[in-house]
This record gives sequence, C-alpha cells and structure tokens, in this order.
Amino acid sequence: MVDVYIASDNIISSLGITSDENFQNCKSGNTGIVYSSETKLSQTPFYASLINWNRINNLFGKIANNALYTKLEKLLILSITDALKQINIHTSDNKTLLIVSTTKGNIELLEQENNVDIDKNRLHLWEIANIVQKYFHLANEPMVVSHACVSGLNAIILGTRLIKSGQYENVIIAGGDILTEFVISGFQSFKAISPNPCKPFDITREGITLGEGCGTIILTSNPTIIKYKEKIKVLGGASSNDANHISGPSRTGDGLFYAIDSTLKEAAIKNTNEIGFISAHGTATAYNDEMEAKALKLAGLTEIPVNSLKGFFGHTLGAAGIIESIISIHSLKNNTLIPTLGFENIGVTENIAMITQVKEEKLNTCLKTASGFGGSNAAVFYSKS
Amino acid sequence: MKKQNYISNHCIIRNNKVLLNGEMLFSMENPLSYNDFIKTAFRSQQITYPKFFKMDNLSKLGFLTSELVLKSSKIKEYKENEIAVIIFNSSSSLDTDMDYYETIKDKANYFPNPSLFVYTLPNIMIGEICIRNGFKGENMLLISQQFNSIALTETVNNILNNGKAKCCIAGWVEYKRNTDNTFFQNPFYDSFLCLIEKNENDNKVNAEFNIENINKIYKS
Repeated sequence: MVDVYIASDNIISSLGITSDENFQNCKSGNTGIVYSSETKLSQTPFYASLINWNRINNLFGKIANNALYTKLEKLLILSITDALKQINIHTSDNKTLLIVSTTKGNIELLEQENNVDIDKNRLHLWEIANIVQKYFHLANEPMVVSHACVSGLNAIILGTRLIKSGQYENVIIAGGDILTEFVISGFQSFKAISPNPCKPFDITREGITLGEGCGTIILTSNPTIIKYKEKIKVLGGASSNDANHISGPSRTGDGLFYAIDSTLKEAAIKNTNEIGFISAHGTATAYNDEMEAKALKLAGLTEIPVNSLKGFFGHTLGAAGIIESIISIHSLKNNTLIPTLGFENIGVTENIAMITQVKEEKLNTCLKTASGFGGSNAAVFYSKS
Repeated sequence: MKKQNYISNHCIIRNNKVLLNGEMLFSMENPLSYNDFIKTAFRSQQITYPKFFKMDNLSKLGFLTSELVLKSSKIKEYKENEIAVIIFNSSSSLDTDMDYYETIKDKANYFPNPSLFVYTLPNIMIGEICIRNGFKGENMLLISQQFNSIALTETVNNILNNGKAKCCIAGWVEYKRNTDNTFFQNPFYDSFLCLIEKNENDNKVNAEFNIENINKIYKS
C-alpha cells in the first residue's frame, strides 16, 4: 500500500502570502474580512476577505510580467512557487501531476474592459491549468476540478488516489478563486450574503461572507523529500451527493454523513476518539450549518472539537477546501486548535463541540469536510504518521 | 492492483442524434435549434420529469444522456451511496455564465437571477442526475481541453477499485456556445455517458472498461 504525504503547502489570502503567515494570523485571532464599498465588485457595500493586490503585483513582478497573467494565474503561480521552494522535486519529469481547483477561473474576462491584452480563451479552465503547467515546465497534461465549494477537497481526493494507484509520485494541487462582481452578485441574488462578518454555527448567523484566495498542497509518496518533522499523511477521502436540491443542502445531513463515513472507513478509524478535531465547512448560512451539525450527529462526532475557518478567510470557493486543509495541517504541526471566529452561541440543533479559543494540546489527526451547491459534499482525513 | 470493470450501457447524443448502445434511438432532421432538438428528443422517450424544462442547456444534455444510459439497467439493485457520477467537459458552464453575465452587465438594467446563477457551476448537472435518481455516492466534475479517455478511466477505476462505489455513471458532457459572428450560431454539443459496473453482466454491450473500448465507443 502506498502512503500519501503532505510534502509542502502555501496559502495566499487576505491574511498573508505563506502558510505560516496565515496560520499565525488565525492563531492571533486576526480576520481578513473587511468592509468594502468597491463599486466594481458590488453595487452596495459589502463585507469580504480581499487580497492586497499591490503586494501580489509587486511580488509577481519579480518573477514574471504582470501584464501577461490574470489575477488568478498570478496567485496560482506564486502559491506553487512557494510550495515548491520547500521541497526538492524535478517538476519536469513525468512523475509529477498538476491539479487545478477553481469554480469560476478567469470569469472576469467576460467583461470586455478587463485585461484587454489577455486572450478570451483563458475563460476556459483548462487553459488556466495549461498556463501554469507551461510556467513550471510540467511534463504531464494537468487536470482541473470544478465542483462548486467542494472543488478543493475533490482535487485533494483525486490527487491522493492517483498517487495511491501508482500513476504519479507527486501531485501539485493548487486551488483559487478571485472575487468578481459575477460571483458577488450571484450570492447576493440568493440573499445568501451576511450584512455583517459571518458567524458560523452561531444563533445569530446571517449568511456567507465571501473571500478570495489561493492554496497549494503538494502530495507525494516519497517521504524523503519532506523537510518538516512528524510527517502528515492523507489517510482517506470521499465525496457524496445529497440528492436533495441543486441550491439547498439536505435536511438530514445523510449526504455529508456518507462522505465522512467512507473517509473514516478508508482511514481505518475504529473509535471516534482517534479524531483530534474537525474542520467543518461552516458557511454560516442557516441551512448549511444545520445540515453539517446533523451529519456530525449521524457520524457520532458531536463530542469532537470542531471549527469553521470562514470567519478568517471568508468563503474562498474553489480554494476553500485547500486553504482550510492547510490551516488544519498546521494545527496538527503546531499542536494548536484554532477557534471559530465569529461564533458565540450555538445556533444549530445538535450540540456540537465548537472550538471557542486557541488551545495547545497534542493533536494527531483531523477530519476536514466541505459541502456546496449541487448537493455536493466531501471529506478528507489527515494524520501524523 | 489492476481489476477489470465493465461497461454495461452507453449513450451518445450529438449531431441531432441519440444513440443507445450503438443503436439509433432518436434523430431529427434540421431542428430549429438545440433546444428544439433536446426537448423533442426528451419527449420522444416518454420521460415524465417537468424539472427538465427548467434546466440549462448543459444540464439538459447530461440529464437526458443519463436517463437513457440508466434505462433497462440494474441500477435499482445498488444502494444509494454505492452509485458514483463522474463527468468531464471542456467548456465548464460558460454557456450559462454568458447568460448570467448579461443580467449584470448593464447597471441600468441590473437583474441578477438566482435560478440562473446556480447553473454557473458545471457540477449542477451531476446534482440534477443525483436528485432525479436519489444517487448519494461519489461525485466529481472535471475539466479537460478535449475528451480524455485516459483521465476518465483512471478516475473511474480509482473509485470502483477502492470500494468507493460499486457502479459509476461516467463520461463526457460538453455544450459550447458558438461565439463566432456567423449567421448560423449553432452550438456544439457532444455527450457520452457509460454505466460502468464491477461485475460482468448479461447486457449485450458487456465490454471491458478500458481506454481502447472507451475510445472506440466514443468515436462511433
């Protein structure tokens, strides 16, 4: 049996440009969510977690020409560059695959005035992956996952399986989405956006806060390339569907339960007390958080400490599963539980064990979950070797 | 660990034709539009499902292909969480993205519509298939420039061979708006779904699920 390890990672978000910077900001209780009246993004002022594009353009200008790449392509290239720096692999050999995770890619190219020098062909998600592939001289044709809010976890699951079955030695998983009027107006039309910073699982939660960001996880079956101590493995993962409604989660949580159950079986978890903590999806909509609480109850996990990281990053869509997995991996590395920013009083019917403050304790394993439009759910299990 | 899986049914919808297991099930000469074709094809199959008419172009295509692939299958013998749906395409949901963008483009005529916005995600097509049939197993929507039989077989085999599902509806569902400024703005659509099972079956198709067979059927 092939083991799959986390070789390295990177997060670029409102809270920083490395995983460490992002993790330290979470640990310090800093949020990336700000109040914005940027009319290019929304007709009405809104809360969102926004990237500092001046910082990104300065950084990117040192390695390539800013005018030739879109915002998302810059994030993906910078994020992968940092993750590759932490390990030694030859990206040009045929043992390495790139998987890109995104929901809307370069959707801002639909607007004529945006990026006039950029070919509209880059609206195609595969073209974004091709551009990143060419930049890093990767030998294999990249894969792209576009599966709403579970895209990131589905990409990690896909990459893990491709390594386990021996098709590749290393898989670079990079996911990102940027905030556009397209996406913000859509969530506004659903009346899903919170008028205040989101409050996951709280009794007064009012909806989602959106965010933009990018995350990279490099998976490998070769532990000798890993430089950090107490190597972390991906022990399992699974996806599922609610079969309930295209824009509303299940009332029972059975879909997410199936993904969790399949993941824990693959990870050979016999007793739930082997699970250190759960990083839930926790978008702070009324229905999503309630569904997740019910799924945790079905899985017998209501006693396990749980957080949602949306209060730090907002909902970063195609990046969410990756960014939140990385913070969870750094929680394991640092033996530190990160609380749910914005949460005060339980507002779901199951009494789940919300993490409310930073807590240092020995942590060995973590379950990460996600759910999204189209009834999709996914779960991944991480463990120290 | 190489294990053999089997194709028990396959359906292709393209060029105003519907082929089930290689046999012509429906065809239409000179339909007025894609919508005319897909709705007429749907009605010709005596399927009762009013939600079909609310779906976007991509979902209609994937949905009808899945209905036909599942017809005369043994899908009911599986549990809800044993059935996976894995679909690839090239253009994601760009057709509906363009429609949705029209609703926000003009600030004086700004009417973002949630029932349109939800279809700006290609995996909604998988959601529609799962809702219709009560499927709760593995889901994955992947994008590739062209039909890629290697990626398709790898992805599906990794699910079936690791006990993540016992059968899988998988293939390629592509709908691309013609954005050229030509008079006849016909879209390009190309849908190909298979039902893949772990065991051999008594269907006449009963082909081994491998790259060669997938290419042969796709190109037929």
